[in-house]
Amino acid sequence: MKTSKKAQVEISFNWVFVLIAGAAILFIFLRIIGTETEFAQTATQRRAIHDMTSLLTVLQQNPDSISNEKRINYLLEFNCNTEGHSYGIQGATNPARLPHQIIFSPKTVGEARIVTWVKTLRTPYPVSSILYLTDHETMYIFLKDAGQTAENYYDLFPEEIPKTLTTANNLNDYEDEGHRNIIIIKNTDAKIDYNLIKNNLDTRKITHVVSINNNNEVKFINIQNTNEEKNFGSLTEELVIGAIITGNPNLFNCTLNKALDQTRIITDLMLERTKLLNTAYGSNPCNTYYSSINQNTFQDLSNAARNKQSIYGYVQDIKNLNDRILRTNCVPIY
Amino acid sequence: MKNKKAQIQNMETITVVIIVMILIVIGIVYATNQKKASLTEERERTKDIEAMTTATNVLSMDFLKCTRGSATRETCIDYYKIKALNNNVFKEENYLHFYRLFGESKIEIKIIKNITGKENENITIYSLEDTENKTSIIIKTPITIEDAVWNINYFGIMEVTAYR
Repeated sequence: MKTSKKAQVEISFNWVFVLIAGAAILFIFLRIIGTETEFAQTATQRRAIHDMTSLLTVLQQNPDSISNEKRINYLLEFNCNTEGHSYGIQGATNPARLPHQIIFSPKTVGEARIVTWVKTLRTPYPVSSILYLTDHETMYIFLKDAGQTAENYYDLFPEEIPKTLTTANNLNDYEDEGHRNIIIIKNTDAKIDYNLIKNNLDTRKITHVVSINNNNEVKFINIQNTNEEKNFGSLTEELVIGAIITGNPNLFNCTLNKALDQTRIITDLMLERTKLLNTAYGSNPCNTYYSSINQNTFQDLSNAARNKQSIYGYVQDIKNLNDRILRTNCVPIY
Repeated sequence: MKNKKAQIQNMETITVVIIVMILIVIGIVYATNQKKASLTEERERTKDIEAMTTATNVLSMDFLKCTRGSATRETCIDYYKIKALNNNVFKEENYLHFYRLFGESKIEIKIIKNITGKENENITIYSLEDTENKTSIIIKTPITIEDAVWNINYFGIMEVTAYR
C-alpha cells in the first residue's frame, strides 16, 4: 500500500515534469516564431527607412532632378496624425517620423517603380528642398479648362509620372488601367459631374478632387460628400504641385505646415539680413531698398506663414522689389 | 530499502529538471546578450550616419548660399546671411527647427581676412555642445564668403563638429 502510494506520487511527479518541460519548450518555440515574425517586419521597415534616408540624402544634393527609381516590393504608408508626419510599411508599429522633411506623397507608395522629383521651395528665395514621391501605380488625371490652369500643371509634371489630360465630359470614357490611386485635378471654375466619377471610377482609389484657381488657391473636394471642402490659401507653384501629388488634404496639410514654418524661419533671416544691409550701407542711396517699408514686406510674409495664410501675394511683392534692385548696382535682398 | 530507492529516483528526476532549467536559462541569457551586442553595434553605426547627416545638412543649406536673383553659387556663403542666422538660430520659436537639422553639433565659420590673422573673424552659427562621454567627428570644408556690400570675397573654412 505504502509502495503503491509512492509510485503514484512518482508518476504524477513525472507528469508535472513533462508539463513543465513541455510548456517551456512550447513557450520557447512560440517566442521564436513571434520574434522571427516581428524581426522580419522590423527588417523590412528598417530597409524601407534606410532606402528612404539614402534617397533623401542623395536628392538633397541634386536639386531640380527627376528620377525613375527601382521597383520597391513593399508598400509604404504615409500618415499625418497628432504625433506628426510619419511613414512605414503597412501595419508597422514603429513608423519613422518626418519632423522637418518636406515630402509630398500619396497615402500609399510602393509595390511598383517609384518616381522621385526634387524641386527647391522658393518664396522667392530658396527655403528648402521639396521631395515629390509617387509611383507608377498612381495616375494623375488633369481636366482641361478655359483658363488652362490644370493644363499648365499637366505640362509642369514630368513624363516619368503617369498622367493624362482630358476633359470633364470625357471622364466617363476614361478606362481604369488598374492603378492603385487616381487623382483628379481641375480648375475651380470647371464644372464636373461627381456622380459620373462615382459611377465610373472605383471610389476606393479616388477620394478627393484637387481644385486650383488662377490665383493658385488650392481646394480639396471630397468625392463622397462634395459639400465637404478643405481650402488652402493662395500658394506658390511648388506647393500647388505638392497638393496635386498627395491628392489628400490631411497629408498635404501636414507637409504644408512644415513648409510654411520653414518659410517663416528663412523669411525672418532675410528680414534680419535686410536690416544688416541697411546698417552696412549707412547713408548710401541704396539704403532706400532696405528701409523699414521694404522690411515690412518680409514681416508680412513671415506673419502670413506663421498664421498659415496665403503667401503668394507677398512672395510676388518681394520678387518685384528684388527685380527692381537687380537693375541697380545695389545688393539684392535675396 | 524501497523507500530509499524511490527517494534516489525522485532526486534524479529533480536534478534532471534543474539541469534542463539551467540549460534553458543559459540559452536565453546567451541569446539576449547576442541580440544586445548586435543592437549596440547597430546604434553606433546609426550615430555615425547621424553625424555625417548633420554635416551634409549644413553644407546643403540653400538659404545661406550666395544668390543673385534665382542663380545660386555653390560653395559660396553670403556674409550677411550667416550674421543673420547667428542672430536668429537660438530664438525660442526657431530653436526646435535648427535642433532637428543640426542636433548636437557646433558649426563655426572662420573668415580669413588677411594673412597676419589679426582681423580674421570667427562666426559660430550654431552651437549645442554636449561633450560628456561623447566623441566627435570634425568636418572642415573650404568656402568662399561674399561681402556683397563691399564686393569682397573672403576665403573661409566651415568647421562642423558633430557629437555622438
